[in-house]
Amino acid sequence: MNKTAVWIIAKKEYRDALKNVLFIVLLAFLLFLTAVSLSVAGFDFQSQVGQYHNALAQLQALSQTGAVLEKPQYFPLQMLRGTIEYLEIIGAIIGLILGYVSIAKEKGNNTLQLLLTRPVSRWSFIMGKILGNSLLLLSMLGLIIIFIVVAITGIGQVMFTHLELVKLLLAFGFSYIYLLFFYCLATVLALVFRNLPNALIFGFVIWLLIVLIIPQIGDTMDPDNQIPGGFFNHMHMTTAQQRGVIAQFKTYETLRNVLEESSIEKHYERLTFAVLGIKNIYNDKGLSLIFQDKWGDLTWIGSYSLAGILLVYVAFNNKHILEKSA
Amino acid sequence: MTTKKLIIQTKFLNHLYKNHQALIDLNLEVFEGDIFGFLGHNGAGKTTTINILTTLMPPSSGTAMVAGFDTVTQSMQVRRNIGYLPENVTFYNNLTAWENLHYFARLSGVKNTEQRIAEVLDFLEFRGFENKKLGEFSKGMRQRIGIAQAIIHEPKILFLDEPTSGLDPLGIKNLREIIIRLNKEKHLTIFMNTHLLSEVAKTCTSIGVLNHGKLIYKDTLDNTLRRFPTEVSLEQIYVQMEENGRPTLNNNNQ
Repeated sequence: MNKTAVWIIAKKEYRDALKNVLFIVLLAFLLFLTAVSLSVAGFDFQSQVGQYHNALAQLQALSQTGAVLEKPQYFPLQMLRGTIEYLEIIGAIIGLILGYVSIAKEKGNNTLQLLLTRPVSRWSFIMGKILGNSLLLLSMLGLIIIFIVVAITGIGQVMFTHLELVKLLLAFGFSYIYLLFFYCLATVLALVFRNLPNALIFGFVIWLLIVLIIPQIGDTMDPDNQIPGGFFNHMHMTTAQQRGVIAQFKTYETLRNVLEESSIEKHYERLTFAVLGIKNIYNDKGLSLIFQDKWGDLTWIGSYSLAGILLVYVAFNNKHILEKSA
Repeated sequence: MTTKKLIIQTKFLNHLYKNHQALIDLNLEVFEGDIFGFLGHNGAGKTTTINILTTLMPPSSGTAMVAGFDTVTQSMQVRRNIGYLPENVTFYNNLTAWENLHYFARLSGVKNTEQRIAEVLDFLEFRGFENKKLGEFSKGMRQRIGIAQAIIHEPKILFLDEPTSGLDPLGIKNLREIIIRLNKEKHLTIFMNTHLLSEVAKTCTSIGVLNHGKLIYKDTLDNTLRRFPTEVSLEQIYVQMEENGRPTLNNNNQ
């Protein structure tokens, strides 16, 4: 691999994307949504605190202590639920756009032939493109992290613990792996499709399936999601009892699980929600305990992205690549 | 009598697309210092031949040697020795001419890029435009940048695919002059796909004619004009060859 060439291509990819109006608009939109989700989470917590103080005041007025009341606890990472959900959807679109543009500009300008007749291996080209766009995705995620940290510590006056910071960085590391999959997907489609707009449309169809439809079907099929707050919780059932009930619907549960497992988005959500403690059972838990439970999801998202990179390599090495760009 | 060195040689080159045989046993020889005009109708297989010679695609069978290297097994060495200007390249419109050239020069491993870009722009009489974005360029100006990127790394062979396509008469004349100067002053061998016979007659030193994937004629331009004394123009020679599908003639340019 020619490291100099990889770096030259990566730098150009990075600079090109910064001049891409669509990318800048989507990034600004994502930051705006992050701000909105943080504000909503902040107001929600403020309202919980307000309710607590009201209840406490009423109890004290009745000459009772507030011991029966559960104090609302503040976990700053739990405020990131909305941010993660927006990354799942808008972030994936950004990945798709970057992947598509990365190839479409070469095919559209007929510069692909020029690049492929330089003394640089195709693997170096792929790595250059992936590196440049990875740096871009990481910069974008870095910007969101800075935004979050500034918003929570600066405006909310709450400091993150070291563990929380590590969890935040890990969650965004996983976000990068998730977004890389969509970058690779769009790259492959743009390489394989003769008609570039069709590649983009097909990419969005897959995005729709993976990000919105399949997880939604899985969620809708989950018996526990049938009523707000959870069906089992509402029925005051223990975990053992829940398992007993689910065991009665083995085929149904297997089908639902297969559907959910087929979507990288679901694995990403499970993993990040666990790491950030958005899923209550993982809140304030150590990383080893979380990974013990979630290594499967990590393996899945890693495998998806690795498969994406391999597919880019295969598509780029296809000897008919230029016929398709004709 | 000096013997010219073979710089491009194909042996029984075949290329099969899904349902279409684009090249059939192509045996082609181009000598160092030639300006070789590769003629043929649309879909004759000219671009497929260039794609194979420039390592963009492997042949279905047969071999192709460029600058002494096999296009499949020694593709990197081939690429170091060739420059290529495909048909209808628009380059990166958001970059300036200098930025475009800098990018391709660095990818080609050019060491002193600044100096080399200046040299190439001087040679092409294109100084003063380097800081303009390519989006503002005419087709003729783009072709000059195309030539510039193709010779920036000082290759031995320059491949041009329909270089005059879309150019106005003045643009064609300017490009012709550049091609001849590159051949004479920089000693570049030039392999040019075209269907413009007038250009071949004014620019090339040897020609080959491809008809439905088969090389039906190959000789020097001078010999060609001598061989067909009854015809009044190169166009008529070409039409006659296309219609009759004449067998390959031996080249006599050594």
